[in-house]
Amino acid sequence: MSKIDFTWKIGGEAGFGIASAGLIFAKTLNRLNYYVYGYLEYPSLIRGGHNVYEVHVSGEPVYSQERQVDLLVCLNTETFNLHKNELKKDAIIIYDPLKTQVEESANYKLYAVEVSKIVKELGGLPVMENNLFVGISLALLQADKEAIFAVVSDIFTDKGEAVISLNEKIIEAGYDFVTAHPFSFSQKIEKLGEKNSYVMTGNEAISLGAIAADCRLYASYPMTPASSILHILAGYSNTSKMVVKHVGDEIEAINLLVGASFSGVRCMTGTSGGGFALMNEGFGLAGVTESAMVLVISQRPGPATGLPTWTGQADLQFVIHAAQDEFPRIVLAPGDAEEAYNLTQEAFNLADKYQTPVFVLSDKYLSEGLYYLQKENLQKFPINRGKLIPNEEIKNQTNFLRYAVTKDGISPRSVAGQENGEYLANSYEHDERGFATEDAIVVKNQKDKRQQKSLNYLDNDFVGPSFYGNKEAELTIISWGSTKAPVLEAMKNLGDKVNFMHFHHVYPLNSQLLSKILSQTKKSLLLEGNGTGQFGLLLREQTGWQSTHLMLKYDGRPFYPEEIQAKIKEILGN
Amino acid sequence: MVKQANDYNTTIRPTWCPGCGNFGIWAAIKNVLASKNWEGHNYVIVYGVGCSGNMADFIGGYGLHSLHGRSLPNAEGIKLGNHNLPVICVAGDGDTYGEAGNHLIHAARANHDITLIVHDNRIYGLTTGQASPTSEHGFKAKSTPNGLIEYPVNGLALAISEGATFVAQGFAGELQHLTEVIKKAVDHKGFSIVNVFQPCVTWNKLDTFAYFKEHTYKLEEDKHDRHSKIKAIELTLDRERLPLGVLYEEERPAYHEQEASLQEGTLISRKDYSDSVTELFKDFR
Repeated sequence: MSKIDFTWKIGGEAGFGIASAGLIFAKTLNRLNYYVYGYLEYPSLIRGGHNVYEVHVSGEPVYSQERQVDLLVCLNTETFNLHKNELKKDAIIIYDPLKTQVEESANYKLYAVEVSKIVKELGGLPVMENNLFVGISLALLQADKEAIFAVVSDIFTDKGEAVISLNEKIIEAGYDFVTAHPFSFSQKIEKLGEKNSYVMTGNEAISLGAIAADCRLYASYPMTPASSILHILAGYSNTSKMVVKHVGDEIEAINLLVGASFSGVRCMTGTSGGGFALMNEGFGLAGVTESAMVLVISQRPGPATGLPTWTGQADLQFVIHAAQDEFPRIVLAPGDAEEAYNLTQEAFNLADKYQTPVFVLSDKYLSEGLYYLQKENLQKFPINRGKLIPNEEIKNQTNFLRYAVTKDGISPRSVAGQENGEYLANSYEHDERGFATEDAIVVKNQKDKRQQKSLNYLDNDFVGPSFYGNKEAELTIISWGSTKAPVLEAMKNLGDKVNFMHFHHVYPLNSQLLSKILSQTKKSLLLEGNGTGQFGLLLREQTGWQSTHLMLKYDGRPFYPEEIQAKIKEILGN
Repeated sequence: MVKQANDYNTTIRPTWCPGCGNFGIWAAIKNVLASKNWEGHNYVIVYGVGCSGNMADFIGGYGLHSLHGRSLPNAEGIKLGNHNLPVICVAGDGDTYGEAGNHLIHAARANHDITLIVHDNRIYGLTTGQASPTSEHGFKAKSTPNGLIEYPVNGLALAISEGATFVAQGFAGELQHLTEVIKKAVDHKGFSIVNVFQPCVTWNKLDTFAYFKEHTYKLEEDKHDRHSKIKAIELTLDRERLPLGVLYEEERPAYHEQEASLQEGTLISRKDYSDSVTELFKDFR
């Protein structure tokens, strides 16, 4: 048996279940214990416009999409025209000759199925054609039919038995067609040994991470690519008992969080850069009142409305510098869904411990990309509320000082309603009780106290980059956040010459530690999804170190492993 | 021990100008707190930014001195976190009708159980005297030397049309009456707003104590149908005769009473459901 590694891609008009077909395909392969990565591209439209979903499948861990495709499913002619040049040798194009015009070529094989006719004959609607294509694809791969039936039954469980059985009939017809019209394909799917993995998007992982962290309030205004967190958390709220509030605007969202933190509940908001621009003022209020909250910022290219459904990493310096003056904030940037699940929980603990806002910085690529997660890598963080004083303890307090100046910069915290914990949370600079002050010494003490929290974090909770690959490598790739996935995929073919340093705790940075690590690199390639190398600028600011090479991408598209490999070959000269 | 209004003072004395209308509102709020016999942990007051918001330093207990215009969403967050706590917002006219327009709309339609007390002096005091959203058309001030082109915002009509369930008006020069109105607003379950005429003795030479004394009248309970939105809005349209008292009142479940996740108690006191995540993972196979 040859090694299984292929990419399946489905394309068609928006509104025809492209993403849903991709999810069914990916889940089926996951249940057969293959590794998958799913990638969705779509314009900012509800109907019309071209949608594609691709699933990279492998018997070995797979991290990202790849440029070239083995199986291309065309729901329309546009898909064929746009993607016929992305095919690997001997790729198969599956299409409906009644709907899609194709050209013959020696570069690929054509597999025609009158999908629209079959679906109609079975009593299905045109929107169900996607599932017949999935059935045909899986039948060509000789995948166990029961696996897809199980997935379909789970996905459509809320739609009732009739919808499930009709979809099963449609998929069955796909298998029957392939039996009647056999076609040889190099890749054959056999069920592999159990590997205990899940498939989910970054936003799903962030949402589950928030539930695992006992987040009790989520307030958000929809904005792509963060919106699905609102839907996911609302959908689960009857189980998680979270208050999930679609608010009037982003200004309301962040100020609601300041109030919720004042009441002592763990809380989170999610938005993209544009929504966070509206939150800046309230973000400053959170900083000076020392409120605990988690902000998920899922980046998309901008400024202003930008490219709503595309990806980028150009808001790093924005979140670092957001709001006037200076106060501590922590920025975590997960590299994949496993990290998103774990780091979201960590974000809540850090927010409570340091009584300050903590970012989970995502982007469209991570938020909507479909990742596999290994059960054994998913952590359940013990909930740590920091210096929040329990009811029974605070009763005995006299002269409670919410903003007491302490050595570690963290003051004891009461929550509204606790007897003897009364204080004023104040947007003005304030004294230890919270009352407004303009006294020079008190102002300095309070600011020093808040700043001390950053230093405390760097000493106790900052986590340096993760390393992948050969320690002695000639070249080190440096990246942060979601770019981890295509880099790891690229590394598969780069041998011992290249290693990888991935940052997930991106701000603040421990300069001493990083100076030491970075000075040990030989050649380096800093890879980022923005036009100025924002993380590189931050590293330089903090350590004086500068990467020898840069690879920046800011056209809304994610990095592809192939282009990373090409860049490395260019640098290393072979 | 029965509480007195002065029990709610802090060690900081008010910094308002002598004769400022804010003193009357400050006294009325403390009267209401005392009438409830509340301790400092039994309520929360959220203050906007402006002369009105400076009250934050002069009343004890749990307080949040918010940003200009943002006291409502802060208050909503506090209420969602612990809906057993009475939450009062103290804000100004620029604060509420200038910056917080969207928050006012959404707080009203959601019927969050919050009381908003608007200090309406028809001027910006703390920024030293510019026209406010409630200033008269033609009003001459630092930022409008040729006279204000805009017409005043009708805040109470807006609140009524957007779904506020208790809408009232008071006057800082009528302490007893104002205390009663604010007390009713605090007792009301749902979103209540009290617009309070509060003369600014330093910057506004038109809307003075004498002016409001002359132009206000008290609504008589048996002569005004406070359950009619139309009649209430009608009352707000007359800028010459300004009604004091409850203009509109309606019973409608408050937001927190309808939120499924708050049915077993307050968010802060309910049990930890974080383990529920385990069963959710099955959806991702």
